[in-house]
Amino acid sequence: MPVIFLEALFLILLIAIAVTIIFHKDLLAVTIIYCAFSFGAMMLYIIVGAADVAFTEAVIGVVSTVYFIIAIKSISRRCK
Amino acid sequence: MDKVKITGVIVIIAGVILAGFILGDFLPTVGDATSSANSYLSPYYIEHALHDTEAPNLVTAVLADYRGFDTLFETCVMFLAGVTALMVLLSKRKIVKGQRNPSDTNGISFSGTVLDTAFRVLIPVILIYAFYVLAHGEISLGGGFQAGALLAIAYMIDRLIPSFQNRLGFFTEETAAMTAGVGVFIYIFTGILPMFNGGNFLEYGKLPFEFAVEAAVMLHPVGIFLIELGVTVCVMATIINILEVVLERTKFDD
Repeated sequence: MPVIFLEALFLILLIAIAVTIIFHKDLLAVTIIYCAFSFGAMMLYIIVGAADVAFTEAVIGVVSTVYFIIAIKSISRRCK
Repeated sequence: MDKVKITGVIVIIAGVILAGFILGDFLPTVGDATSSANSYLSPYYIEHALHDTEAPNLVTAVLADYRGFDTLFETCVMFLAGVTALMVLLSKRKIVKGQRNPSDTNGISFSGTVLDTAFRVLIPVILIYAFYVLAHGEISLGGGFQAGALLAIAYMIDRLIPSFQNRLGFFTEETAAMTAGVGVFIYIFTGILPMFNGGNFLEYGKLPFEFAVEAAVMLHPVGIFLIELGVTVCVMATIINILEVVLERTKFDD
């Protein structure tokens, strides 16, 4: 399979995840889906050959997810 | 039409425009040797980096050696981000020394058999991998930033799973900010060391460790390792700093 199809697949996945993040109601679910966005971006970086950036993206995806979950547990609002 | 729908429409339009750019062949292909970005500076780095810096990983050679000054100020930006989070989020707290239990997570903790076992299995692997990434930064993937983030992830897991607390020691917000400052100091001190030996700022070939290596170019991996140590300490302490600040601030609603 040509790499361009894999790249297009992950780009479409990223767009779908972004639209889902905007329109979803549950904040915790949005945070986990954002982690999936980080994963898709990481795969995209690997495809274009930037392995260092992909590694950074994977690590920072974990860190930012933990921040968001702590912030969500701190506020009283879960769903809008 | 509310704000959320407008944002969604904007995102969809931006995605369509991006897809148009890619499908319409307006952007150069990835890895195109004749594109303007790849025609001037990149060939120099690719041809001379190994000879100049003795670092097989080209990314680390560019980031830590050719552009060490950029990385210095990126580290300073990380430090400033931690200090800013400290100042903004803790602005309403009455600072009473000795009143607060340092293991207090304000009710934000995650427990259970699965998490405890995962902690026990994962933490040694994460720590070993963090130090591997730090030490092999100029040879394989990674470097200071990734190693610091991995160390901070190990600390985060230790902080948030309550049945294993007090294993790695505790940072408070203030000590974490000070440790980030120590990381920046290590970086700047590594830059100043060659100046005692007649070199310029961050000129690794003039580091005063000639007795340990056979050629001056072999000092470049030493310098790269030292500044990556500084970046590691700064990034780790900044992430821990923001974590502690966010744990301390319980009411974001005001």
